[in-house]
Amino acid sequence: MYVRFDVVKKLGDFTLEASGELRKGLTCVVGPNGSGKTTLFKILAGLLKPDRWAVEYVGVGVRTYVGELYVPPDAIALEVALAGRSRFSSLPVGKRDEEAVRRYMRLLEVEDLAKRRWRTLSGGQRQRVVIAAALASEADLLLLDEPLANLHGDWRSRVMNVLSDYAATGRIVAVTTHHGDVLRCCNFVIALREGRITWSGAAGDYKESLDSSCDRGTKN
Amino acid sequence: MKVLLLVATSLLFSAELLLGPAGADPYVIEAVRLPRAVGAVVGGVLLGISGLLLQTALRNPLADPYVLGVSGFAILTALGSYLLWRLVGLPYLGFYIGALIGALAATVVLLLLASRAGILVVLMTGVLLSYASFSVLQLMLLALPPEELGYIYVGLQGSFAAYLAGVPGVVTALVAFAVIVAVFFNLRHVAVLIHGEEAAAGLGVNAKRAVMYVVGAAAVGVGVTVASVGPVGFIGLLAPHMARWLTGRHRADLVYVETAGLGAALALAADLAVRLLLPRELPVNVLLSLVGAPAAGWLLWRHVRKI
Amino acid sequence: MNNKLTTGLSVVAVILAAAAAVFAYQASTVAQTEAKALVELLGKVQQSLDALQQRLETVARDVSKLAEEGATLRAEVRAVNNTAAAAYAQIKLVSEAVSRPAGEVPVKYAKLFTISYEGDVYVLTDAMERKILAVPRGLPQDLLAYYREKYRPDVVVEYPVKRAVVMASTHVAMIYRLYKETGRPDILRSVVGIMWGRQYSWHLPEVAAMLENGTIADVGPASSPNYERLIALKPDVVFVYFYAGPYGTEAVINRLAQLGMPYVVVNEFQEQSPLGRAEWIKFFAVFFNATRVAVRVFDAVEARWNSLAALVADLDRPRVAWFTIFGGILYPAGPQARELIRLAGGRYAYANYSRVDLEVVMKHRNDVDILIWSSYGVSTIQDIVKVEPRLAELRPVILGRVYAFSPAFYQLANAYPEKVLEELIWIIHPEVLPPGNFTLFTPLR
Repeated sequence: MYVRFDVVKKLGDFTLEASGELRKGLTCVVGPNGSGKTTLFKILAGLLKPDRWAVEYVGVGVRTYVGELYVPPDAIALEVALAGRSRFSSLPVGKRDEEAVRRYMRLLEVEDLAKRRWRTLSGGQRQRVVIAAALASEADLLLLDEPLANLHGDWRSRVMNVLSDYAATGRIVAVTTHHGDVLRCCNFVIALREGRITWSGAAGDYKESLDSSCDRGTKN
Repeated sequence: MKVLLLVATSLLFSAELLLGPAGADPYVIEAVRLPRAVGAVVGGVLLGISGLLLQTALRNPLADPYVLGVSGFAILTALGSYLLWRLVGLPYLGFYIGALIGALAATVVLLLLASRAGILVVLMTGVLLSYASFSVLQLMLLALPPEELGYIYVGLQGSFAAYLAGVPGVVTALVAFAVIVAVFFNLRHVAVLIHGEEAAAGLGVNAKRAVMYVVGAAAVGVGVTVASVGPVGFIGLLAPHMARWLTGRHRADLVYVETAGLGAALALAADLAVRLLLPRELPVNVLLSLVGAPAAGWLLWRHVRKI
Repeated sequence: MNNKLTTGLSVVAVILAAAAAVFAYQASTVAQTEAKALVELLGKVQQSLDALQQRLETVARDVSKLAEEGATLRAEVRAVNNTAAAAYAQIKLVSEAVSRPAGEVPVKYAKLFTISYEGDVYVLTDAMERKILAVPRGLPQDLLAYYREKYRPDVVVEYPVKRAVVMASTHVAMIYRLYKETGRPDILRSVVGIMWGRQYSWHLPEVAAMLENGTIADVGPASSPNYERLIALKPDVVFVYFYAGPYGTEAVINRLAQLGMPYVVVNEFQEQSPLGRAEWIKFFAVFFNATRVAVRVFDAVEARWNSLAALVADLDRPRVAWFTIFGGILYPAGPQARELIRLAGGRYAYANYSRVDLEVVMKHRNDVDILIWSSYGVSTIQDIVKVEPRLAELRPVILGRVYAFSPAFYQLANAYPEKVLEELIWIIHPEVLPPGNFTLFTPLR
């Protein structure tokens, strides 16, 4: 299972021109702000149509993209996580969906916040609920845009470990980040700069990685 | 909670059928009260659901079903038919058919838009349609002799008594049932729209299709309601909120049944009040607010207290 | 001369001189005394002169005072003369006024207006309790001033009015009736403007024609008339009705007051009884110098009304349903309609119900003989069934005894109440009064 892409997309005076591959495992896409990470992800998710379309999905069933999410302040955390189950059916959510979602919330230690109102949650807690929702979609290709926003220190690597575990079950997970500190947790790294891929390959070979506290990672 | 609502609604429905100045006369019950009770249930449920759908898709807690402009246009066509009858002698199609024609036309236009543009474009078109319809309506009213204006204004305010008995009533109820079921089978996809169309698409939902379901169901729901009982207010805006306060849940698919139930209950309660407490038949809008506001207030208080 | 002579002459001279001196001295003393006496005398004379002077001054002052008083007196006398003249004129006026026959025009049923008169001057109170002074053209100014002073009216109108603007079609109908009953075309011709004129369909043929050819101007809707056209018409009086609220005429009346237009408020629709409403024809009549005729006409109307009621008072009463449905809402008969039914020899079918809605009507679908549909715009029974299909089961609908208002009903009912009663009796008791040409009601086929 893999995704091969070769896309061009013009957005105003910014042009994204990227080609490469996503394989099973956890891929970190790094780059400064405005380098085109989100654009690339949206194209891969099928949300944005590139000017030149050449994306090949081999063996990929379900794609999920999770970026910014509007949440009404009165919704409870469990309901937000349940959004991840949207692709499974269009009948109202039920017990099985709730159980699945709770499992992922437990992994991210937000299960006890299930009944709490969104506006009472901290930024980090909210982020983890959203990640739980993304995981609950059990997609083959999971694209997470800035999943580590609002997360500090310890939780940054812990989340990356969870994602890495998820990817290790035979899935493709890609995350964007503009910090280099978690690159060690990834299997692969793709570096983007000003709309162009400047480097791609195994994380272990990436020269610019900074020290991290991940215990998984450089293995394929 | 669902059980409570079911019991309450059943009680109200029975009261609507059995109580009244003419007593428990079976003919009266069948010929007069049953259509009215059905009208209240159909109107209440459809309005509540439409309000819920639109509030979800527009991410706006203040959306109500009339925001789509369908009801304005439907009333315009209904009145247009009336005027053509009064002034030119063309056969009067009746308020029902006249309104349905307008509702259908508006629904088609809105759906076309929804298939090509985002829901906000649909919304703005609806708002403009509403304004335009209302203005044209006012202009048309100038053509009527002054004595009739009083009738027109009151008659355009919505009353469950106007629900048609016989075949049209049955057909309307069936259409309402179809809408309710169709929405149920697409609820999860509609519910995720609260996070935004793009987020929904990212989560694997055909957002465009979901939006079209919302627009279609809301437009048909409102159109059918306005055609059969006229423009009844309050329920579309407040039943969804009351359901949320009652259940403590926010997701559309988790409050759907409660919204429908509350819509029906409010409508039945208000109609009962009109029939039993007022000396004369009045548009039900008045009592909806009087009956609904305290209920909503109590539920809101309970809800706010828990936070 | 010799020395002796000279010396002797000198001695004599000296003696004479001495004597002269002595005499002189004596004389001067005397003179002094006399002078003193003279001075004294002069002083006394001076005093007297002073006193005289003072007295003269006093007298002069008194005289000038007298002159003033004389002038004042003259002025007062003149004033008294004027007052006397005015008083005389006043007395003449009052005696003239008093000698005028005064009284009240009898108003039996209407409660919202009064008419009293002194001679040919009328004092009316309208529906807003405003006082109106109606004076004949050519009334002497002083009489006018007198009456103005006495009554302090809100508006003064000269009759017969030559240019009247009318707000309501029902008012036009009353004026029309006056015209028809007096046979005086000038009454109708004095209507120069009607509000909403072209919008109504008129059941008064002359009025329709005059609106058509522009003799009567359409002044715009009653809720917001075209004030410029109104002012251009220079009306002697504007007949308005007062209806509060946003769709009412309150704002219009305020504007007319601001513009200084002479208006009178006719709220005949607020009267409780049909005869009370029709009695307003007397009110209108004053403005057209047709008061006596109006009184006569109304008496005839009253008599006809009473005779019609007496005709059917003892007969069996058929059950009459009276309502209309619009927008799903049923509008039942109000108290006046119910009274009319009773007077016409019928029985209101839903008298025992405080609340009449469709269920009551359907419950008694077989207990009703006649259906009167209390609105117009329907011409066949099918039209009614279209509005509410369940009414097809009503007995009068099945039997075909269904009537509706004619389009002329609202225009003419207030002015022709006896016709309303008559046609109702045609409907309810055709065996007593065979139906003629229906104008206010329409039998539906």
